Amino acid sequence: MLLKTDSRLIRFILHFLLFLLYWSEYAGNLPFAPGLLLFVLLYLLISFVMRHSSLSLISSVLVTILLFIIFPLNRIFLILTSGMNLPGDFVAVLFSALYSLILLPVLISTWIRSLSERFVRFYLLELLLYACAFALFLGKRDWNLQDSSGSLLLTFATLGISLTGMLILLLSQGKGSLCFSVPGDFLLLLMILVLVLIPVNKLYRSESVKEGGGLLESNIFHFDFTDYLTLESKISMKDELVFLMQKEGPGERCYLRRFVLGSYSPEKGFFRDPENTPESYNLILPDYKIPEKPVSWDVPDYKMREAVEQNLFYINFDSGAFLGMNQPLEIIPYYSWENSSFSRIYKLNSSVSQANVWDLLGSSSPAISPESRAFLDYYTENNGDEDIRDLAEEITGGLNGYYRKVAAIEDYLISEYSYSLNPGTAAEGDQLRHFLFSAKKGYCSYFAFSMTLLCRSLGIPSRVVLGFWVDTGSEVLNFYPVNANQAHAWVEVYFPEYGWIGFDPTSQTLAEGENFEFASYNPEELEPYIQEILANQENLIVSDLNFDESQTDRSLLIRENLQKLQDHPFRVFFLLLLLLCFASVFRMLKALSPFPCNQKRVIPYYRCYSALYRTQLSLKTKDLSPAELARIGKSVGAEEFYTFTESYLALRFSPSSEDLPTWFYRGRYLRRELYIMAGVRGVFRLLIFLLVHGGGKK
Amino acid sequence: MRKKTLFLLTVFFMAFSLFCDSSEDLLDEIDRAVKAEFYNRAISLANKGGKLYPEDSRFPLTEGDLYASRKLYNLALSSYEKAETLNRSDRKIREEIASVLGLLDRNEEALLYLEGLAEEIDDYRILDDLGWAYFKTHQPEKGIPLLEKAIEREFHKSLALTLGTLYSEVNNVVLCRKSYLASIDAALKDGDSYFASVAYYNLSLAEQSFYSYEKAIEYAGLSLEQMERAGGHLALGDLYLTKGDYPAAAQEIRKAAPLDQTPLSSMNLASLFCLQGKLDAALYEADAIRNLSDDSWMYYFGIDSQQFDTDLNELYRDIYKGLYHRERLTAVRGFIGKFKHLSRVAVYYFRYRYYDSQFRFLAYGLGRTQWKRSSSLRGALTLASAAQGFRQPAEKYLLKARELEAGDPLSVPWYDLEIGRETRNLSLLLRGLNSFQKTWEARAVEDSYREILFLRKGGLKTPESIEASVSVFRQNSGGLRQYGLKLPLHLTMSGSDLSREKRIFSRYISSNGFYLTESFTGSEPYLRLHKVSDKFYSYTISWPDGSILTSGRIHAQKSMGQTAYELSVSLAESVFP
Repeated sequence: MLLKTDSRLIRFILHFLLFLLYWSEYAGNLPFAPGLLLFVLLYLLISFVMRHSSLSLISSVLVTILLFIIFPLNRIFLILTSGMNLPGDFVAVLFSALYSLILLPVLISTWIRSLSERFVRFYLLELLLYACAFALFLGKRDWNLQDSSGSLLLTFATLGISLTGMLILLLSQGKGSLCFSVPGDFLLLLMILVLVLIPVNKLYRSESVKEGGGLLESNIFHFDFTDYLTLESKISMKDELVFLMQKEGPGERCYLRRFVLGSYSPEKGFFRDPENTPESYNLILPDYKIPEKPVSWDVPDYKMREAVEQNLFYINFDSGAFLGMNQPLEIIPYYSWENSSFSRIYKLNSSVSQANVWDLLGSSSPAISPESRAFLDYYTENNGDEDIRDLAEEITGGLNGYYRKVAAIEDYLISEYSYSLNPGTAAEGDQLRHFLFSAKKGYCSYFAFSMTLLCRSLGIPSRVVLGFWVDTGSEVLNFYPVNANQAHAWVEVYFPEYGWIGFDPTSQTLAEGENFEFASYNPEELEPYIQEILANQENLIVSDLNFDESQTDRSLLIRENLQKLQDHPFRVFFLLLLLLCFASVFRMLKALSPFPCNQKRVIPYYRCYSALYRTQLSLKTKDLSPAELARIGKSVGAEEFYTFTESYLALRFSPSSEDLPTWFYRGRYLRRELYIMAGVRGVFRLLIFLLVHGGGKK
Repeated sequence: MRKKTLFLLTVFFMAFSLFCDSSEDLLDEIDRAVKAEFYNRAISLANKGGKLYPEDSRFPLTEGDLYASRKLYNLALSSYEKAETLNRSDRKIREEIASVLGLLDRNEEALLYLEGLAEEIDDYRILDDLGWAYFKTHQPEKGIPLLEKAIEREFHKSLALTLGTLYSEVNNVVLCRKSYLASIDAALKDGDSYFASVAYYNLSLAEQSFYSYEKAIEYAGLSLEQMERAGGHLALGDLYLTKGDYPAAAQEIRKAAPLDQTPLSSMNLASLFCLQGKLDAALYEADAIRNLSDDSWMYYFGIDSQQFDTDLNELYRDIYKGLYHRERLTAVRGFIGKFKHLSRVAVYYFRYRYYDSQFRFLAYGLGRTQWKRSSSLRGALTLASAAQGFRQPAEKYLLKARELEAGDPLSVPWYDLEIGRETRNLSLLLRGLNSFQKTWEARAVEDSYREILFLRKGGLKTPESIEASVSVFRQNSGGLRQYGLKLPLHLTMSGSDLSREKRIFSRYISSNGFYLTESFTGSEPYLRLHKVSDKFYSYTISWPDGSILTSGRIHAQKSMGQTAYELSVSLAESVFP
């Protein structure tokens, strides 16, 4: 009951918290304390004006607008300070600077509050406002949630506050209590929230893929590569720091593999399908998840391989996602230290090919045998496009040798095509053909996609690989910062004696009129991380050897299920709809048990019951005699309520045969009247009465 | 092979670490590890040395040097401070600390170290750094006597250069020139082209601030003759900007960009785009600058992070203000179009106010520091810009600044413009307009015309206002719409009875940044619209002297409104940037 009386206070606290979030995110150089003080003062002032104006809502909104137009506080302040000739000649300037940033949010929040207080349905508008605030914070960091823990916290805090606030408002049963029932309507509000978030989520995800160069996708639950390769018409590249790699010795450009996209279908393009891959688990690592304890893998003994050690420190990347140089041999995951900035730390030993051009020149194509048939079929599957095959033959025409053909295709793409973040949209809808035969410009995915298909059209087993390239120029004390814009797609071609060898066909020549530079590393950004690693590296503890895998499985399961929910928001919507139906059916069953003596009375009876249920009296009325109800009705001064209850009881208990249609229309009319007439004060007094006197027979 | 060598080196280091124990051996090993790029190993050894020889300051010092060489200045500072606690008498450590503090833009702390060092030893490099620190902390009154005495004892070109900068801070024209020229002479005698180039660049900047543009352009050229540096091109670009020659300014800034290790060229380019009304390009450049946060370059320039942030926020403010006005003066059609238009207007306005607030707070903080210290002129101007639009404080600080520059008659029109703007005084603005050096201060003339337009009542209804508006447009085609001003046009239509069409065309053209005059005043351009057939309209905008500004043709659309809309868009795109 207290909640109800203090719903204004609750709203004020809610708006205050939202303002804090807003201010902490956007205040920049503006001071906190004066900003906060001004917010409170303006909020109270506007609330006062709106509450105490005897005008209609729209008029009172207009009055507040006029108030600020005719009597802008900053101008008043200016006049006052100039008149008084204060020593602080900048008071008005600074006040004005604060005022212009605070006024709008205060006005919006107070108007919304006022609307939702006056009109029950505007609760929904209030919810939408919170959902919008949530979406705003969600999109604040250019569609990337996980790049700063502060932003993520902020987002969830907003969502938490919004939902809690709504729950409190519903429980508090403000003026609109007669229209809302807690379980059913809360479900309804959740459904609306989901409906609001569906387009936001869709937009967010599509934008995040574009922002991630068509390779990376960020959402609430992870920031990782996509499972399939999309060829976007336009992308942008973010330069957020994703992780640090530490590798001793002189720097050299290297590639860290995330996913291998070996499967191909003309409809989907290249995609990840570990279950159908012809290679063993060790080589493909189907889950691509970092194990929770040290693991080593057996790998085939290819020629010219050397072990290379890497330490990886994840900052803003899915902490379960496995990254490493081809081919991983052993992984040692570590526990991160307390208050660490890194979501995951591990050491990886990889068997890296050192084969050079001369070694590869002597290699031959894979022998076709019954054992290798499935492998070759899988890695040479293509769309059978004659033009692509003709192009591949034109490029490699007259060349002998397996490696020469592969290198010729790589060189051709590098030299004849240019790099572009804006490859344009294909008129006929086929982005790949658009790239290969007309635009001749694209980003890494286009190049990798093309080279793989060109190789496959010649029967050369190849696949697309997604991961990050590591820039040697950015090395600082053997640490290599890797930014999101270093996400890359390249190609691996199979050489029977040397294994999978990487090729990077992406052109370094920028398309005409385009300007794109990889941001140079920023020591100031990097320094705290390096400092932290140097201070703690010696005390790293290897992840528990007795780690309970079922624990991981459980958390993984929850995470994956949440992920699925985000992938299919309509399922959430329908789930909520189902729950809502259940709640209604449950309420109906409860109302009709025991079943009314006359079946024809069911509908009018149920309508009356529903109306009473919304007054929160339904549970009590069963035990109240008509005389008691009449007494309550009179005591709260709501005659309609009394009449209505009388109707209800007549329908519920009276065995006499009344004219049912009359009861029905009377019930409907009374319900409407009840909605209109029963004010907050009446309901409140009724509830107090029940609280004090109880609902039982006396 | 390379991998094998690395492997052997690793083994060597590991074996060596088992057997070596003396501090000298450890230091040698650290040195070798650094040369082999095994930095983790080097740092571990430095830590080991620190633990084995806790009294030996060389281990943290070496570690600090390693960090400083990689621009990890916070880590370097912490190592140097550790070394300092072990060996307070070592001057080298304190010099390194002062240097790193300067690079971290902690000039006040650097100053304390330098003052301590200057008391201990009479070293011109320390004095030079101290003088520079006084400049960075806006205390020329302390720096000038210090360097004057040092030069009296023994002349050094770097001391003279710093002294020149300090004189320019107090607006001492004569001594500033004298010091810079002395440092240039010495550098030329030594054959030090780099130094001479820097000194000429500084002198060029000073001359510009003293309103002697011919000299400024001459020195900027000499700076580039000595060495092709970004600074010389940027100084030239800035001068062309003042001159109102925007293409030449753009050319110079583009020349500077590949030579520039700082974001200054991007900043200048963004400002230029903003002035020209190329607001999207300006926003792109500004965003690129904002993403950089390495401030160590500022140590070598007369700027600090607070000043840089202030400038950047001011730039954003101007860009969004321009976008807001441009959007307001853009024709729209259809419900969705109007909705999007209104949303953009609201968003741009809110962002403009946001950056305006940020700028005012930053400029106020910065100006107050400068004002309290002895950089009074700079402080007064910064405070005046923070108070722009608030008559009382703005006028107060502009008057103070004018007092400080009282000796220079060339400064008067600038103050007339600024004070006239703040006090809404038309006669001051007109006086300023007539006193500017027309060849060199065309941008200020453009500003004056704009301010006059804002002040004249009745908008563009008077011939004087129309003439002022045309003058602004002739100087800079992007100088009207982004300030909420329209370009006057005189519309004539021919081809058939177009009385109904004229009304619709006029409505759309007027809402797209043009003002259609009722009768020709003699200065505004003509818009001739001719209905070629039912399918085509042709248009020509020409100056009164007959020269053509733009021309073209458009297809008739389904409705007259749509055709008028397409025409207005086409006109705006070809006339405005």
